[in-house]
Amino acid sequence: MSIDTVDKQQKLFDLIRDVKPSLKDHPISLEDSLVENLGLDSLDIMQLARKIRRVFGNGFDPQQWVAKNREHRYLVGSILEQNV
Amino acid sequence: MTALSQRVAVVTGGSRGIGAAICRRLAADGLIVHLVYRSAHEMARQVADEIQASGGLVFLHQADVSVEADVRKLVDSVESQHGALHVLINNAGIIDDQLVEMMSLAQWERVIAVNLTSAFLMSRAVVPIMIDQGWGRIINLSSNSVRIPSAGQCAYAASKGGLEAFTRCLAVEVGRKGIRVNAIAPGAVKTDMTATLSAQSGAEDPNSRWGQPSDLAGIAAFLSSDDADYIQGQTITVDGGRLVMRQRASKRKAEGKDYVEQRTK
Repeated sequence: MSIDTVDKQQKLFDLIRDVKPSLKDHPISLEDSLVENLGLDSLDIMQLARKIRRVFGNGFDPQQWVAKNREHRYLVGSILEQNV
Repeated sequence: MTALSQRVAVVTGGSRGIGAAICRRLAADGLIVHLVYRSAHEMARQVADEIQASGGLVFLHQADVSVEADVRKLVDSVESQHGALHVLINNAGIIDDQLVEMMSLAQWERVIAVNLTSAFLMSRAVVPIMIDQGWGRIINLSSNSVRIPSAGQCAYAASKGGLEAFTRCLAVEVGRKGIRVNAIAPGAVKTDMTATLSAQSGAEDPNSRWGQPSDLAGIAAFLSSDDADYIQGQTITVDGGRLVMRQRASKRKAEGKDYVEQRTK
Protein backbone atom coordinates (compact mmCIF):
# COMPACT_ATOMS: atom_id res chain seq x y z
CA MET A 1 0.00 0.00 0.00
CA SER A 2 1.52 3.31 -1.04
CA ILE A 3 2.02 6.20 1.35
CA ASP A 4 -0.41 8.18 -0.74
CA THR A 5 -3.12 5.56 -0.24
CA VAL A 6 -2.48 5.34 3.49
CA ASP A 7 -2.60 9.11 3.70
CA LYS A 8 -5.91 9.19 1.83
CA GLN A 9 -7.35 6.54 4.11
CA GLN A 10 -6.34 8.45 7.20
CA LYS A 11 -7.77 11.69 5.82
CA LEU A 12 -11.01 9.90 5.01
CA PHE A 13 -11.23 8.43 8.52
CA ASP A 14 -10.62 11.90 9.95
CA LEU A 15 -13.42 13.33 7.84
CA ILE A 16 -15.80 10.61 9.02
CA ARG A 17 -14.90 11.44 12.63
CA ASP A 18 -15.45 15.14 11.89
CA VAL A 19 -18.96 14.35 10.79
CA LYS A 20 -19.62 11.90 13.61
CA PRO A 21 -17.61 13.05 16.64
CA SER A 22 -18.87 10.05 18.65
CA LEU A 23 -16.51 7.91 16.51
CA LYS A 24 -13.50 9.76 17.92
CA ASP A 25 -12.12 6.70 19.69
CA HIS A 26 -13.83 4.15 17.50
CA PRO A 27 -11.68 2.15 15.08
CA ILE A 28 -12.70 2.60 11.44
CA SER A 29 -11.86 0.19 8.65
CA LEU A 30 -12.42 0.20 4.91
CA GLU A 31 -14.85 -2.69 5.37
CA ASP A 32 -17.11 -0.74 7.69
CA SER A 33 -20.43 0.45 6.33
CA LEU A 34 -20.98 4.12 7.05
CA VAL A 35 -24.63 3.41 7.74
CA GLU A 36 -24.77 -0.05 9.31
CA ASN A 37 -21.52 -0.04 11.31
CA LEU A 38 -20.70 3.60 11.90
CA GLY A 39 -24.23 4.96 12.25
CA LEU A 40 -24.15 7.79 9.74
CA ASP A 41 -27.54 8.91 8.42
CA SER A 42 -28.38 10.60 5.14
CA LEU A 43 -27.63 14.08 6.49
CA ASP A 44 -24.25 12.88 7.78
CA ILE A 45 -23.50 11.32 4.40
CA MET A 46 -24.35 14.56 2.63
CA GLN A 47 -22.02 16.41 4.99
CA LEU A 48 -19.28 13.82 4.46
CA ALA A 49 -19.63 13.98 0.67
CA ARG A 50 -19.13 17.72 0.77
CA LYS A 51 -16.03 17.38 2.93
CA ILE A 52 -14.64 14.68 0.63
CA ARG A 53 -15.05 16.93 -2.40
CA ARG A 54 -13.31 19.76 -0.61
CA VAL A 55 -10.38 17.68 0.59
CA PHE A 56 -9.94 15.28 -2.32
CA GLY A 57 -11.20 17.43 -5.16
CA ASN A 58 -14.11 17.17 -7.53
CA GLY A 59 -13.34 13.63 -8.71
CA PHE A 60 -15.82 12.30 -6.17
CA ASP A 61 -19.38 12.40 -7.44
CA PRO A 62 -21.61 12.03 -4.37
CA GLN A 63 -24.83 11.67 -6.36
CA GLN A 64 -23.40 8.82 -8.43
CA TRP A 65 -21.95 7.19 -5.33
CA VAL A 66 -25.23 7.41 -3.41
CA ALA A 67 -27.13 6.08 -6.45
CA LYS A 68 -24.98 2.92 -6.34
CA ASN A 69 -25.46 2.31 -2.62
CA ARG A 70 -27.07 -1.09 -3.21
CA GLU A 71 -23.77 -2.28 -4.68
CA HIS A 72 -21.35 -0.79 -2.18
CA ARG A 73 -23.61 -0.61 0.91
CA TYR A 74 -21.88 2.61 1.88
CA LEU A 75 -18.62 0.80 2.64
CA VAL A 76 -15.88 3.22 3.60
CA GLY A 77 -13.57 1.64 1.04
CA SER A 78 -16.02 2.32 -1.76
CA ILE A 79 -15.31 6.04 -1.43
CA LEU A 80 -11.65 5.49 -2.20
CA GLU A 81 -12.63 3.47 -5.26
CA GLN A 82 -14.11 6.64 -6.71
CA ASN A 83 -11.80 9.12 -8.38
CA VAL A 84 -10.51 10.63 -5.16
CA MET B 1 -19.31 31.54 17.47
CA THR B 2 -20.25 34.17 19.97
CA ALA B 3 -20.80 37.35 18.02
CA LEU B 4 -22.84 38.36 15.05
CA SER B 5 -19.95 40.21 13.46
CA GLN B 6 -18.47 38.83 10.27
CA ARG B 7 -21.31 36.46 9.77
CA VAL B 8 -22.68 36.37 6.27
CA ALA B 9 -26.38 36.87 5.60
CA VAL B 10 -28.42 36.54 2.44
CA VAL B 11 -31.72 38.40 2.33
CA THR B 12 -34.08 37.75 -0.57
CA GLY B 13 -36.49 40.48 -1.58
CA GLY B 14 -34.12 42.93 0.05
CA SER B 15 -34.72 45.99 -2.10
CA ARG B 16 -37.81 47.25 -0.27
CA GLY B 17 -40.21 46.86 2.61
CA ILE B 18 -39.48 44.27 5.28
CA GLY B 19 -36.50 42.85 3.38
CA ALA B 20 -34.80 46.24 3.15
CA ALA B 21 -35.43 46.89 6.85
CA ILE B 22 -33.87 43.52 7.73
CA CYS B 23 -30.86 44.26 5.51
CA ARG B 24 -30.31 47.57 7.29
CA ARG B 25 -30.63 46.00 10.73
CA LEU B 26 -28.35 43.03 10.06
CA ALA B 27 -25.72 45.30 8.52
CA ALA B 28 -25.98 47.62 11.54
CA ASP B 29 -25.42 44.56 13.75
CA GLY B 30 -22.20 43.86 11.86
CA LEU B 31 -23.21 41.11 9.48
CA ILE B 32 -22.03 41.09 5.89
CA VAL B 33 -25.28 41.40 3.96
CA HIS B 34 -26.01 40.05 0.52
CA LEU B 35 -29.11 41.84 -0.68
CA VAL B 36 -31.00 39.93 -3.35
CA TYR B 37 -33.52 41.64 -5.61
CA ARG B 38 -35.34 40.57 -8.73
CA SER B 39 -35.92 43.74 -10.71
CA ALA B 40 -35.88 46.87 -8.52
CA HIS B 41 -32.25 47.72 -9.12
CA GLU B 42 -32.53 51.40 -8.22
CA MET B 43 -34.27 50.68 -4.93
CA ALA B 44 -31.73 47.99 -4.10
CA ARG B 45 -28.91 50.40 -4.91
CA GLN B 46 -30.48 53.00 -2.64
CA VAL B 47 -30.71 50.56 0.30
CA ALA B 48 -27.12 49.50 -0.30
CA ASP B 49 -25.97 53.12 -0.40
CA GLU B 50 -27.70 53.79 2.93
CA ILE B 51 -26.07 50.76 4.51
CA GLN B 52 -22.65 51.69 3.21
CA ALA B 53 -23.06 55.27 4.36
CA SER B 54 -23.67 53.91 7.85
CA GLY B 55 -20.52 51.85 7.68
CA GLY B 56 -22.15 48.51 6.83
CA LEU B 57 -20.97 45.97 4.32
CA VAL B 58 -23.44 44.98 1.61
CA PHE B 59 -23.36 43.28 -1.77
CA LEU B 60 -26.11 43.34 -4.39
CA HIS B 61 -27.32 40.37 -6.39
CA GLN B 62 -29.94 40.38 -9.10
CA ALA B 63 -31.72 37.01 -9.11
CA ASP B 64 -35.14 35.45 -9.46
CA VAL B 65 -35.08 33.13 -6.47
CA SER B 66 -37.91 31.04 -7.86
CA VAL B 67 -35.54 29.96 -10.66
CA GLU B 68 -33.22 27.09 -9.80
CA ALA B 69 -30.29 28.28 -11.94
CA ASP B 70 -30.41 31.79 -10.44
CA VAL B 71 -30.37 30.37 -6.92
CA ARG B 72 -27.41 28.11 -7.67
CA LYS B 73 -25.44 30.99 -9.16
CA LEU B 74 -26.31 33.28 -6.24
CA VAL B 75 -25.32 30.84 -3.49
CA ASP B 76 -22.16 29.73 -5.32
CA SER B 77 -21.16 33.37 -5.64
CA VAL B 78 -21.64 34.09 -1.92
CA GLU B 79 -19.86 30.91 -0.89
CA SER B 80 -16.91 31.50 -3.18
CA GLN B 81 -16.57 35.06 -1.89
CA HIS B 82 -16.67 34.25 1.83
CA GLY B 83 -16.39 30.48 2.15
CA ALA B 84 -19.37 30.72 4.47
CA LEU B 85 -23.04 31.58 4.67
CA HIS B 86 -24.57 31.85 8.09
CA VAL B 87 -27.99 33.44 7.80
CA LEU B 88 -30.67 33.07 5.15
CA ILE B 89 -33.74 35.29 5.23
CA ASN B 90 -36.36 33.96 2.83
CA ASN B 91 -38.32 37.16 2.43
CA ALA B 92 -39.09 37.36 -1.30
CA GLY B 93 -42.81 37.30 -1.86
CA ILE B 94 -45.68 38.58 -3.92
CA ILE B 95 -49.37 39.20 -3.43
CA ASP B 96 -51.64 38.56 -6.38
CA ASP B 97 -55.06 38.26 -4.77
CA GLN B 98 -58.01 36.95 -6.70
CA LEU B 99 -61.11 34.97 -5.88
CA VAL B 100 -60.52 31.30 -6.59
CA GLU B 101 -63.09 31.04 -9.34
CA MET B 102 -61.41 33.90 -11.18
CA MET B 103 -57.81 32.94 -10.49
CA SER B 104 -55.79 31.60 -13.40
CA LEU B 105 -53.49 28.65 -12.96
CA ALA B 106 -50.59 30.93 -13.93
CA GLN B 107 -51.46 33.33 -11.10
CA TRP B 108 -51.64 30.48 -8.58
CA GLU B 109 -48.38 28.94 -9.73
CA ARG B 110 -46.51 32.25 -9.71
CA VAL B 111 -47.55 32.99 -6.11
CA ILE B 112 -46.58 29.50 -4.97
CA ALA B 113 -43.28 29.73 -6.88
CA VAL B 114 -42.20 33.07 -5.47
CA ASN B 115 -43.50 32.63 -1.93
CA LEU B 116 -42.86 28.94 -1.33
CA THR B 117 -40.70 27.27 -3.98
CA SER B 118 -38.08 30.00 -3.66
CA ALA B 119 -37.66 29.17 0.04
CA PHE B 120 -37.18 25.52 -0.84
CA LEU B 121 -34.61 26.33 -3.54
CA MET B 122 -32.68 28.75 -1.36
CA SER B 123 -32.74 26.48 1.68
CA ARG B 124 -31.65 23.46 -0.36
CA ALA B 125 -28.70 25.45 -1.66
CA VAL B 126 -27.52 26.84 1.68
CA VAL B 127 -28.14 23.85 3.98
CA PRO B 128 -24.98 21.95 2.92
CA ILE B 129 -22.89 25.05 3.68
CA MET B 130 -24.54 25.50 7.07
CA ILE B 131 -24.14 21.82 7.91
CA ASP B 132 -20.45 22.15 7.13
CA GLN B 133 -20.20 25.09 9.50
CA GLY B 134 -22.25 23.38 12.17
CA TRP B 135 -24.18 26.64 12.48
CA GLY B 136 -26.88 28.34 10.49
CA ARG B 137 -30.07 30.32 10.69
CA ILE B 138 -32.92 30.15 8.21
CA ILE B 139 -35.78 32.58 8.72
CA ASN B 140 -38.87 32.43 6.56
CA LEU B 141 -41.27 35.35 6.25
CA SER B 142 -44.79 34.04 6.58
CA SER B 143 -47.96 36.02 7.20
CA ASN B 144 -50.92 36.32 9.51
CA SER B 145 -52.99 35.53 6.43
CA VAL B 146 -52.37 31.87 7.27
CA ARG B 147 -54.60 32.29 10.33
CA ILE B 148 -56.87 35.17 9.33
CA PRO B 149 -57.08 35.20 5.53
CA SER B 150 -59.21 37.61 3.59
CA ALA B 151 -61.29 36.63 0.58
CA GLY B 152 -59.08 36.43 -2.48
CA GLN B 153 -56.02 35.30 -0.55
CA CYS B 154 -56.23 31.55 -1.20
CA ALA B 155 -52.98 31.41 -3.16
CA TYR B 156 -51.13 33.76 -0.82
CA ALA B 157 -52.38 32.10 2.37
CA ALA B 158 -51.71 28.62 0.97
CA SER B 159 -48.17 29.61 0.01
CA LYS B 160 -47.48 31.03 3.47
CA GLY B 161 -49.14 28.08 5.22
CA GLY B 162 -46.92 25.82 3.17
CA LEU B 163 -43.95 27.93 4.18
CA GLU B 164 -44.75 27.44 7.86
CA ALA B 165 -45.05 23.67 7.37
CA PHE B 166 -41.77 23.74 5.43
CA THR B 167 -40.20 25.64 8.33
CA ARG B 168 -41.19 22.98 10.86
CA CYS B 169 -40.15 20.07 8.68
CA LEU B 170 -36.77 21.56 7.75
CA ALA B 171 -36.17 22.31 11.43
CA VAL B 172 -36.65 18.62 12.16
CA GLU B 173 -34.31 17.63 9.33
CA VAL B 174 -31.35 19.87 10.07
CA GLY B 175 -31.69 20.90 13.71
CA ARG B 176 -29.10 18.51 15.06
CA LYS B 177 -26.48 20.04 12.77
CA GLY B 178 -26.71 23.41 14.54
CA ILE B 179 -29.17 24.98 12.11
CA ARG B 180 -32.22 26.80 13.40
CA VAL B 181 -35.19 27.26 11.12
CA ASN B 182 -37.96 29.60 12.17
CA ALA B 183 -40.62 31.78 10.62
CA ILE B 184 -41.94 35.26 11.28
CA ALA B 185 -45.60 35.98 10.61
CA PRO B 186 -46.13 39.71 10.22
CA GLY B 187 -49.56 41.24 10.48
CA ALA B 188 -50.48 44.30 8.47
CA VAL B 189 -47.25 46.00 7.52
CA LYS B 190 -47.09 49.06 5.31
CA THR B 191 -44.98 48.23 2.29
CA ASP B 192 -45.21 48.70 -1.46
CA MET B 193 -46.64 45.20 -1.64
CA THR B 194 -49.52 46.00 0.70
CA ALA B 195 -50.15 49.55 -0.50
CA THR B 196 -53.39 48.61 -2.25
CA LEU B 197 -54.62 46.65 0.76
CA SER B 198 -53.85 49.46 3.19
CA ALA B 199 -55.65 51.94 0.96
CA GLN B 200 -58.71 49.64 0.85
CA SER B 201 -58.81 49.26 4.61
CA GLY B 202 -59.65 52.91 5.15
CA ALA B 203 -58.96 54.89 8.28
CA GLU B 204 -56.60 53.42 10.80
CA ASP B 205 -57.61 52.28 14.23
CA PRO B 206 -55.02 54.02 16.42
CA ASN B 207 -55.06 51.03 18.79
CA SER B 208 -54.01 48.57 16.09
CA ARG B 209 -51.78 50.55 13.80
CA TRP B 210 -50.27 49.16 10.64
CA GLY B 211 -46.78 47.95 11.29
CA GLN B 212 -43.70 49.45 9.74
CA PRO B 213 -41.04 47.27 8.09
CA SER B 214 -38.65 48.24 10.86
CA ASP B 215 -41.02 46.56 13.36
CA LEU B 216 -39.96 43.23 11.87
CA ALA B 217 -36.22 43.85 11.75
CA GLY B 218 -35.58 43.29 15.45
CA ILE B 219 -37.08 39.82 15.59
CA ALA B 220 -35.24 38.85 12.41
CA ALA B 221 -31.96 40.00 13.95
CA PHE B 222 -32.73 38.08 17.14
CA LEU B 223 -33.58 34.86 15.31
CA SER B 224 -30.33 35.29 13.35
CA SER B 225 -28.30 35.36 16.54
CA ASP B 226 -26.87 32.89 19.05
CA ASP B 227 -29.55 34.01 21.49
CA ALA B 228 -32.12 32.14 19.41
CA ASP B 229 -30.28 28.83 19.70
CA TYR B 230 -33.10 27.19 21.67
CA ILE B 231 -35.86 28.34 19.33
CA GLN B 232 -36.57 25.87 16.58
CA GLY B 233 -39.35 25.29 14.06
CA GLN B 234 -41.46 28.14 15.41
CA THR B 235 -43.56 30.81 13.77
CA ILE B 236 -43.35 34.08 15.68
CA THR B 237 -46.31 36.38 15.13
CA VAL B 238 -45.36 40.07 14.98
CA ASP B 239 -48.54 42.02 14.40
CA GLY B 240 -48.94 44.55 17.20
CA GLY B 241 -51.57 42.31 18.74
CA ARG B 242 -53.96 42.31 15.80
CA LEU B 243 -54.47 38.57 15.94
CA VAL B 244 -55.44 38.47 19.61
CA MET B 245 -57.42 41.70 19.47
CA ARG B 246 -59.33 40.42 16.46
CA GLN B 247 -60.40 37.34 18.42
CA ARG B 248 -61.53 39.53 21.27
CA ALA B 249 -63.38 41.87 18.94
CA SER B 250 -65.15 38.92 17.28
CA LYS B 251 -66.27 37.59 20.65
CA ARG B 252 -67.46 41.04 21.68
CA LYS B 253 -69.40 41.43 18.46
CA ALA B 254 -70.94 37.97 18.81
CA GLU B 255 -72.08 38.79 22.31
CA GLY B 256 -73.42 42.16 21.21
CA LYS B 257 -71.29 43.89 23.80
CA ASP B 258 -69.11 46.89 23.66
CA TYR B 259 -65.64 46.79 25.15
CA VAL B 260 -66.10 49.97 27.16
CA GLU B 261 -69.49 48.75 28.35
CA GLN B 262 -67.92 45.51 29.60
CA ARG B 263 -65.26 47.35 31.55
CA THR B 264 -67.60 49.75 33.28
CA LYS B 265 -70.11 47.15 34.41
